[in-house]
Amino acid sequence: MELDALLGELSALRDDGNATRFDQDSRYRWVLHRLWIAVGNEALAYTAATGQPVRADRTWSNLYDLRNHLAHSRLPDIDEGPQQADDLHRRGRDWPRPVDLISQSWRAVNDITHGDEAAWDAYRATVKRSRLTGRIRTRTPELALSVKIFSTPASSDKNSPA
Amino acid sequence: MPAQANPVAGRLAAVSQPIAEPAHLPLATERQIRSHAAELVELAARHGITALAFASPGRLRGHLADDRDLFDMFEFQRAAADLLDAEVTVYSDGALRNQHVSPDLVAASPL
Repeated sequence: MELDALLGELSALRDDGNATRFDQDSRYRWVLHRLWIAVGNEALAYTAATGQPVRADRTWSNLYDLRNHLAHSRLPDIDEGPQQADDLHRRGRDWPRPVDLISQSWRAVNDITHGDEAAWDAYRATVKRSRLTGRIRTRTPELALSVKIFSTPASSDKNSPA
Repeated sequence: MPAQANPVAGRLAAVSQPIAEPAHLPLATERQIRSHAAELVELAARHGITALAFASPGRLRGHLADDRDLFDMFEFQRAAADLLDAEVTVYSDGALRNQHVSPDLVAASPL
């Protein structure tokens, strides 16, 4: 799942629950852990795709460190108190930043295609064919992210040859 | 004898490569941590962390102020790693409420 989809899942889970559920329902809590771990992996993948170290930017660093905290710690060593519950359940303080980047990536594609539907389709088809093999050169981080977003195969063509 | 096609390698070739993790520093030793105790305590306070204690190599325990969050803890970790040139992870003392918490966190000794 890509970053925007993960953030969407987190948002949906957040809306499905509350701090009490986070405190009392360990499965609910662990699903949130798993999604934040996946977000941290995407932060690492995104920075790698755009040629910047994950430690070079505060937002990506924090998401990566959150991944490490959740993935590398024994569960009893993680403080699940109200403060941390608030972080994991409601938000990351820098959460808007990745979302902004995603919307920037859409705008960047829009700049190329000038909002023309056929041009959008052509762009998406090209990116899908590339399947992140590096055959598309991206000019900006926003475009690199758009390649990641659009190259996620649709369910109907998951088994088609790359 | 010519090399034969390896069907497993062939299939794996289509799998994307794992993400390259950044190089990790060695874990901070107790000696490193105690020799920089005053600086670490001051640095921690700037990020809303008090009651800093050494748990085991690379592991500290601290108390996170109510108006701070996990990201403050991570920012302190990175600042501490820069100071010591070694890896440091901080665990919130709120975890002591949990059952089966690691013994090193329970027995951590103040800096």
